[in-house]
Amino acid sequence: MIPELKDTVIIGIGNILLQDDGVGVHVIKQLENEMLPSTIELVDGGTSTLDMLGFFLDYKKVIVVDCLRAGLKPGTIYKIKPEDISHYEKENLSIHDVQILDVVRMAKMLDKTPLVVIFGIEPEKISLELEMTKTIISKIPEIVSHIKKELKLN
Amino acid sequence: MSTIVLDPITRLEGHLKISVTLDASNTVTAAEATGNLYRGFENMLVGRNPGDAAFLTQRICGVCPVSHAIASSKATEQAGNFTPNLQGLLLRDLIQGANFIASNILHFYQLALLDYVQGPAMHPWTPGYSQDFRFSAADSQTLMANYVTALSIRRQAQEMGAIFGGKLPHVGNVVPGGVTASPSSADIANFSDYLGTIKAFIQSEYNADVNKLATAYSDYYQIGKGYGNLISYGVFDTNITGTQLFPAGTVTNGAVGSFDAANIKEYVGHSWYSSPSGANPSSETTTPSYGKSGAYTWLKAPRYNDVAYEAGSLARTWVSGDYRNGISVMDRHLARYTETSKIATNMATWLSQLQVGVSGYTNMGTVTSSGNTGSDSEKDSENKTGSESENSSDDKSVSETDATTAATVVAAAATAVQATTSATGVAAPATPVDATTAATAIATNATAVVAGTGIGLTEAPRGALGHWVTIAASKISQYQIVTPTCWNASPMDDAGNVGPIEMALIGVNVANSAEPVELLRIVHSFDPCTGCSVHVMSPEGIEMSNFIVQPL
Repeated sequence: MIPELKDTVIIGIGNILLQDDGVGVHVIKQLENEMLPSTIELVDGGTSTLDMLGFFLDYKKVIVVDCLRAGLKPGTIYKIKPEDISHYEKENLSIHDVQILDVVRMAKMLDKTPLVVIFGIEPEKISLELEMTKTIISKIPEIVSHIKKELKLN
Repeated sequence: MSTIVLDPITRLEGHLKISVTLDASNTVTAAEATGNLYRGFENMLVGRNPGDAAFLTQRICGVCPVSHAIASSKATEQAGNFTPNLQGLLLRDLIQGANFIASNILHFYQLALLDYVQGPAMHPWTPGYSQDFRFSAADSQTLMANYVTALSIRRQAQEMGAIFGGKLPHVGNVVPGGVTASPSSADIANFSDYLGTIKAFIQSEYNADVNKLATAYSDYYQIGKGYGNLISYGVFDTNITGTQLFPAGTVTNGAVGSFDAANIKEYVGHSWYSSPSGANPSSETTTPSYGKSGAYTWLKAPRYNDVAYEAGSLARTWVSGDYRNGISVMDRHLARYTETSKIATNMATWLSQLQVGVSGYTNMGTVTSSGNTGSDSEKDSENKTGSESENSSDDKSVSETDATTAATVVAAAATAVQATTSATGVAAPATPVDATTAATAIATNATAVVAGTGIGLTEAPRGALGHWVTIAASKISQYQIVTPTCWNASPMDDAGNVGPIEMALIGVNVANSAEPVELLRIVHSFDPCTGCSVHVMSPEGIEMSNFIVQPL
């Protein structure tokens, strides 16, 4: 059970073994170095997207940071809310895996509808490598700033 | 003749593709299972400290991280001829047990049931097939209600595991040497509360629902048998002398026999690798060769005594004697239920055996060779001494700090690398971490095996999982992982024998080739998972340029 004061959770999703795929997790590690208010919980979700369901049930606001490949310039930062894309027929960010939008739907089945904001980062390279590309590493401070802005901490 | 391609076939992590050939009467005459993702994680472990492997390998898979951490720790422990104390084994059992329960419930309700139940016209029931739904409206409603309840139960199982495993999903405290946790009486009581709720759901709802399925689809006792050979590496240590709740063993042509890892070979004749075919994992190498002639998958073909074996719940419960009704789609579901119930019951026993305030971790010390053959009783007393001395500083916060340190080390190392490489024009992290310090911390925390070889055998929920390690000069010189889905979804071997899932599909008649639900039911009954694991989101049909953030 969570302490009552915490109302926002920031979840980093990704595989740190696969270079830029792990950007979400790396952002969480960076946020751990920032002095964030105690109302904010930071979670390294790794690749266990479905296991994040509990956070969607317990928190009012969920911020997700993940790698998102849409084909635009590497390092591009996207910000989407599930409701922004609900009118798209597929409403599906991946046909392969259990994804964050599936978890949002599951939370809804359990009568929970937290405010969800997804920050997606366009990767440069996804391959077997612990170290991210310089392009993405250099974007980390900007991603952090956008998250802080979302949290109204700037 | 026609062909059907199902891609993707997993509802979990996965890039598993199934292609089948049908004859004029819609009977499957040939089947190919294709793992579409290169998995060469082992190569990145070479040259690293053995203690890194437990942290890094659990990142391979978001579904079975606990089993990877345990297999990796066991491999290094065997290289050091070391067995954790009973407290450590029990804590691993409880963390892994929670993961098994979560995974098996997920499999039945969220992954398999949708092949049989017509749900409302909404996701996740749509899009889907509309073929061969047999439940009454009332039964369908019950099953859908339990689908939702199962989400909550699964979540509680995760929280239960986190009581001893620390931050889930990726456990930080399962390390060579045991588990760096020392349970308080409050932890044990909390765990017990969760277990009570979860066990009740398993033994009433899950029990009723799986039997409902078996009654409505009893023809599936005759479908999807495959070879009928089963393999289990054994899991859930119940004492320090190697007794396990589900022991290692094989079932060959109906006969239960022993298991010896030396009999495993992996063939790559039909896989996209140029490395030598037919090697035991202890000496195997992994060299990718995409597009190799005659190959059709990234999965290798593990064989036991050159024969294809099926891994999973049915293998475990058959070897243990808990479920021996038959081998089929439906038997897999019932075996999975049977073991889930048995695990929940035994977790209560393990919980009662835990000692309050005793650490599950013993420092392995410096080990120079795997040739030591100290007797188990000697190890026992050493371990006890070790844990008692730790016990003297009996303070949960201390061991939690250890665990947290261990958990963050790899991440810290990654951050450090990032900090070093992002020197140009980028603000350094507020608290820079030195990569060398982080690496040293792993070495000190996790293991000090200087040289040796080890095999870490355990079970993931979906079947036998093994890690093979060779350590030289305190570094990993060779690492090989054979996953359960490699057993089940393996391709044809060099002798021309197809893999277990492929075999289970051959001969099946498909009623409607536009909706080959029979094939899905067969493949899903194996609980395949081949993600291992890219999680990049890829929007389809959405104009993402609308969602670019403006510079600050």
